[in-house]
Amino acid sequence: MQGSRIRLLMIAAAVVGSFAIVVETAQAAEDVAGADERWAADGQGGTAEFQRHVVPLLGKVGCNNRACHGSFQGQAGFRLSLFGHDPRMDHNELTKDEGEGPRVDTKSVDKSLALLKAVGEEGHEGGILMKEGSWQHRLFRSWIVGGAGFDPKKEAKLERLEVSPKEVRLNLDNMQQQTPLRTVAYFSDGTAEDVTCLTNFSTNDESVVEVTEDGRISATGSGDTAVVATFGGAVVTTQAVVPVKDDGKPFPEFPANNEVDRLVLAKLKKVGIRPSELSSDEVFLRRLFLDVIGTLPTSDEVRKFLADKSPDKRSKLIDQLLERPEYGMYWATKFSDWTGNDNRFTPQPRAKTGWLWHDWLRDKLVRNVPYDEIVGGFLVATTREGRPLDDVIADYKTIEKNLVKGFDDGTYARRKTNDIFWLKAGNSRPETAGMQAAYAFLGVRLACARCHKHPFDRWTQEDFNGFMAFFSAVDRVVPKDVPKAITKKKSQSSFVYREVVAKPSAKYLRSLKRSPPKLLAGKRVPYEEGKDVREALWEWMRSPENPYLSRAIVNRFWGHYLGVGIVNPIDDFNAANPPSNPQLLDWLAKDFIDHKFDLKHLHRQILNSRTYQLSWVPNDSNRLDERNFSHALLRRMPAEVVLGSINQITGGQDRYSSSNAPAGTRAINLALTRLRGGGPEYVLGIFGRPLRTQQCDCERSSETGLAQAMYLLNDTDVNGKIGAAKGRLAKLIKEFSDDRKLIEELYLITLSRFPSDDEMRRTLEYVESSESRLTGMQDVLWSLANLREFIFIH
Amino acid sequence: MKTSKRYCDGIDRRDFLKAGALGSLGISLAGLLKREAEGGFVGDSVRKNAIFIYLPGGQSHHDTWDMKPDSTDADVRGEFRPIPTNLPGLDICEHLPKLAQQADKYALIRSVQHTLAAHAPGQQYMRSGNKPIPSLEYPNHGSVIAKEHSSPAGIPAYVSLPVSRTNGGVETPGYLGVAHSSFAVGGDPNSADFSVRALAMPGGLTLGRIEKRIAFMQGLDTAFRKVDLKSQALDGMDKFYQQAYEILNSSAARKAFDLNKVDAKTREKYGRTPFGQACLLALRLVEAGVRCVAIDFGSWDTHRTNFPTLKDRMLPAFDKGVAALLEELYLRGLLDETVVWSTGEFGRTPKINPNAGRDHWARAMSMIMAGGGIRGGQVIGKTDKKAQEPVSAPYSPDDAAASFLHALGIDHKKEYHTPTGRPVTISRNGSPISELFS
Repeated sequence: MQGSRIRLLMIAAAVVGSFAIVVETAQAAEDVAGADERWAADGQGGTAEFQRHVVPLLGKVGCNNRACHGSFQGQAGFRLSLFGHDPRMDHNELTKDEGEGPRVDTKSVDKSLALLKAVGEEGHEGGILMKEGSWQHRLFRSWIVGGAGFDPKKEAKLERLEVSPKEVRLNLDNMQQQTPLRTVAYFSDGTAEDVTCLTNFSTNDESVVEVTEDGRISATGSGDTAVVATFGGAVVTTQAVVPVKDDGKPFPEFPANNEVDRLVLAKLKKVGIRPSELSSDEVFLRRLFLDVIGTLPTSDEVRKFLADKSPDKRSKLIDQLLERPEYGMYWATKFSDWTGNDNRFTPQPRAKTGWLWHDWLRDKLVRNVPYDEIVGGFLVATTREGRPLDDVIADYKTIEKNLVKGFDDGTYARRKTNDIFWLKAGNSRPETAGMQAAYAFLGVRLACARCHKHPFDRWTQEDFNGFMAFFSAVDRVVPKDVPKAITKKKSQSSFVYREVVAKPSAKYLRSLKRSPPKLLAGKRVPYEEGKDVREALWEWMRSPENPYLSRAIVNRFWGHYLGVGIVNPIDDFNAANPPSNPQLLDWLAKDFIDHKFDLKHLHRQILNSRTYQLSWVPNDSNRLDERNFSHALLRRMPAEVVLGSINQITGGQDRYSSSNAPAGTRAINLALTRLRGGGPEYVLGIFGRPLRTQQCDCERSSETGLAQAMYLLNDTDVNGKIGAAKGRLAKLIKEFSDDRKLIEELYLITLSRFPSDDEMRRTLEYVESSESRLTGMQDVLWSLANLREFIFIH
Repeated sequence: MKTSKRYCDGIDRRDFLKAGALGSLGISLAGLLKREAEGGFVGDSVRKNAIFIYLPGGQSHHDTWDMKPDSTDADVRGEFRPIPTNLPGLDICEHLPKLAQQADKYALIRSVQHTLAAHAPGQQYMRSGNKPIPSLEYPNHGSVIAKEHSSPAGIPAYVSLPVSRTNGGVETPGYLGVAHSSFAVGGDPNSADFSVRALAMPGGLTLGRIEKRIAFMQGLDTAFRKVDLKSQALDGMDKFYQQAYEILNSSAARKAFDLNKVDAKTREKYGRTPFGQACLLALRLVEAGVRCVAIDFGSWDTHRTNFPTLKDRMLPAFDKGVAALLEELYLRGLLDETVVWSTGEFGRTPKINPNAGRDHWARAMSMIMAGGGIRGGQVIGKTDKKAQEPVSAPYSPDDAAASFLHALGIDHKKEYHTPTGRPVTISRNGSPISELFS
């Protein structure tokens, strides 16, 4: 014991002295030496424990991974639980006589099939995983010699895993050198053990650091990332920082506009990255319009903003845009993405009820209803919302009538809760609704835990089932007190009366009583008849202590505005994916809660920061940075914004079937994912509008593709809109007789800026050399729309 | 991933494009196209193509490939009579006379079975080789093929020809993302003014004017060009513009799509129907280097008036188009490298309903596959007396998909990663049907 402790100190000293600075070292001393030391020689070490040693060893050498015996089909008739999440099953598989007989033989230990396979004496597709006479081999063997036992009640449980150092700084000048990590496991019996040799290590970014199998980190490039250590189902991370080489240039002025900037700056200094300059007014204006309301500024709006000399004009503009009607349209589309408003599955008439969902969100956003109330509007939705039945029926009648004629007039949108969510076809399955909610409101992906423990997070099947149980406490029925006349179905596609009630069906009532719902990483909530158990879930989510709800939405907004989340991917909060700037995430989340979940406040906090307003033009030190918000990232316009912008600059409009969308619908306000009978489905599809079938923000694609280029380059839609006889350009040509003035206008409506002298000269020359003024100007408008400066938010 | 595609002089196309992207688009393109004209590509290591003929709605197997003329049940027998084919012992529907003469080219599988008797899920299943699940959208076969087998410059890898789009079929690159979506060609290839949306050059546009526009645009794009920025999206967009321009400018693509240049006799052979001409177009596109052509031809959803619909509308066009396609592929020596698969989402009921139609039936269905090493002239599987259920070992759509990909030289067990990092096998549960290749 003493020996390993001294060794550790020596390593730490060496680390400090030679090549890296260890910021923090482990404080706890280990009681038990590492397995590699314990079984270092024959006849030593005693009997290994199954859950503590053998299962992690099987994980470390790779037996139970997905490609091998951890696959659900097993491999060569032998199956282990994936990453060892189920030691009981693994023990059975190893010791029980099934088919080919047990894989361990306590009588003639060295004839054990598992041993022979692992050392490669028996043919093994997986290769040689342990050398004969190695500590691994001795460990495994000692367990068999000791009777190959496993008593889950007696074996101490893993309570906590620690990795040290928690943060490692490496240096690009010394890329060969390695910093060792060390993991210590703490067990329920009060013991601790150095488990470094049984831990799996991986890096989140190979272009910053590499990590060897035994946990030594070395730098590969500048930046910062996390190194992940897993042992026995626990996941911990170390932050690795490789500062950008100091080129001696001074750190630029970075006057903080608010706390966001102070926290971003602190991290930038740590990584040695200099931020870019503040963006120009033109660039800021265009970015803000596209990001907040998905709409280009008009030429007058550009002129007015550029001419405004007041020092607070940026924050005034932010306030104004948040009050525009497009704000509600654009953000209802985003919230519809997250909550899964897919009109293939909303109730009949599907297209129309997709609009109810969208407009319900729009109403809340425009009125700036606190976010926790919006979440509650989904989570604890009922049809009656505690209102008198007569009122509910009156509303239903109004809506039903509106949907026959066209679209609802806002009767549904004004409701407190959104019961369409629960009436959506897939959401009658508790797991589907529950995974959607976890994804939408908590930023947590539970899908893995449906079948096995989440490999990189804490979630087990128990967590999964417990969470999903909340979503089973609901039924869709027509209660007895509803007059018969109301429930008569008029046609295949009529809006039928069906209530969402906070009362489970008989099937789920039994299971709710048997195993009550459980909060994620929290307690079970006993089910009581007559009470809406979902209320407990909602209260848990909106409590200031809840670590998920506010972080998830704050991170989504941040990702939207900065192009990359503080946690990234933005909807993948898990133990192995730590935030790039935890202080920033925590502060934003707390500020959001302190301001009573005020969404517009959150928008303003981010938008008013200098960080958001930085230029996209990088400098030598931040060119490669996509993680610390040192410059604005280029983002391709989202699908609806592409289409809307094309329409805006050309005066074009898309036709929708009258049963799909009200005439004149703007793409940023389109509720539906699937259109029937025409409409711009093709264009929206090629630019990656999500179908809202996957529970992933990645379903909205910001990738570029061939079809997009073909569309912009040569599509009838674009060209037709540019050349339309009653289009915008035709009008402008009449309005501006002076070529210069017209060209200036075209630059303003497309790029939201005035042309440079050089651009004006070239453009004039081009128009003059064209067949006609008309074709020349058409070409100019086309060219401006095809510039990367147009399609990329910058 | 590195493609094996190289120019004759050994320059990797990828490097070439990269070098080109730095310069002005127009100049590098001219060079690229010149190179192509001079020698073209040596070709892929695996040069296999696919023509996927999808029959949305679900083709009645009783009335086409799996007739039961001796059944005592008039519903099962149906109104049509069988005729012999050029494969001794195989009889198929009298309204498929031309396909009867090509039976030596294709394998007929009669024992495919599944449980998804609704259009949308059935189609997703058949078009992807995976049972649909709510949390993930699987890519269509064409997107996978395009990802695995690339096409020459100026030629899109995956072209879809939705001659008719019905029954909720959604063509999708699924989790592979928009970069792998198809080059969709709408419109009726049988009409005189058929043009390809992306190649159409609408409203008096000419290549010359597009070139002029591009040259002008490039002169303007200085703000972005002068900044040295590593941006995948930006580089990607540049690359796709280049590709788009290549396709627009490629005489090969333009020629392949221009059916008006094809002589009347050839066009007649495929039948002057939208579907027949789509088959002709498919062949031409494959010849030009397209790696997967997907034709949608429906609807076969004959809930009403099954027999007249099949006899008058669907079968003649189907028969002529597919038979001509198979024969021409064979005559041109392309059948070994081109895999043809024709299937719908399910078969139809043995019972005739009160509307003289047949309803959905997924417990038995028939499909044909040909080319790419598939042994033609064989019948795989057998159904019971009513063609309700296979009596031989049933195959699943997964198996059919695995066979199709296998014939294309693609390992269906290959693993991709979804954008969330979840590992997904191309088609997890299938295995190639061994008789097809024996």
